[in-house]
Amino acid sequence: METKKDNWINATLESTEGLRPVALSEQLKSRLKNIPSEITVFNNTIPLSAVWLAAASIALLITMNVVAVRSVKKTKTQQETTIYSDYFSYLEQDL
Amino acid sequence: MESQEEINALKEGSQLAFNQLIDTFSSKVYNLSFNLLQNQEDAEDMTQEIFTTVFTSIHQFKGDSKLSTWIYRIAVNKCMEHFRKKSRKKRFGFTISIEQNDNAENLMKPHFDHPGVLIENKERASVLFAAIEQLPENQKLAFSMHKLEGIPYEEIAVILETSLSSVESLIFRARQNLKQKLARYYDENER
Repeated sequence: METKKDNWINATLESTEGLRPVALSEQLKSRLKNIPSEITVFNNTIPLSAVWLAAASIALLITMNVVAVRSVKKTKTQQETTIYSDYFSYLEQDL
Repeated sequence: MESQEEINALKEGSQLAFNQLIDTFSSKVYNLSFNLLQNQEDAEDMTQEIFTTVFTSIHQFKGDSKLSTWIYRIAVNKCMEHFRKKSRKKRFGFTISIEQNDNAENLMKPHFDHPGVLIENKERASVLFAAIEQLPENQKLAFSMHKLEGIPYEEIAVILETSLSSVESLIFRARQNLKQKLARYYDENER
């Protein structure tokens, strides 16, 4: 019984003997051969100045957002302080 | 494709030299990816990624090893990245495991039908591939490179940047692990 199991294990371990390589499709081969032209086209079509312009725009957008969020927070705190002081002002009057 | 002239032409971005490189190595790289990833589409995408890296970083090749070894090293690193991404995704989807038992992850599900396997071995090879898929990363790489690609131990040691004895040990442990996994599979399915 155990021999049958061992035989099965050994046969399974050797089941890839004589494995033939899989052929590449012609489509993949031409995709691979196009890599240099694709990379060169990418490098040629996007000028460095455009990359810098995009980076600067993103930085400006982030800065504007940070400034806007900060100013909203500041206004909110000022408003809250006014509301509190108005609300408790009657106490000051009674005292 | 190993001569200095050809390597220099590659470094200069020659399309002709790159075409020759593809003709010489694409089949080896594709088959390595196919055997490791066990999926045709993934293997095709991986092969493209590997050769893109080869093209963009050929200037870093110093000639310390054979060009084929250097390309294999890139291929192995890319496949390792793929395994890690896959296991991260699996860990992220851990919620499913609440409804499954703990052994679910260890269950072997033969699913890969390698077109290069002899017809009489198809069923067994599918089980073997499922077992190989469950091996630890380094054992999987070493075992697949030696057993499926026929790469000698010495070259595997250079590709994995390790010693010859480490490669021998990795392949020995891979075989032991596979035997255990196959024995468990036999008890559950074949008996």
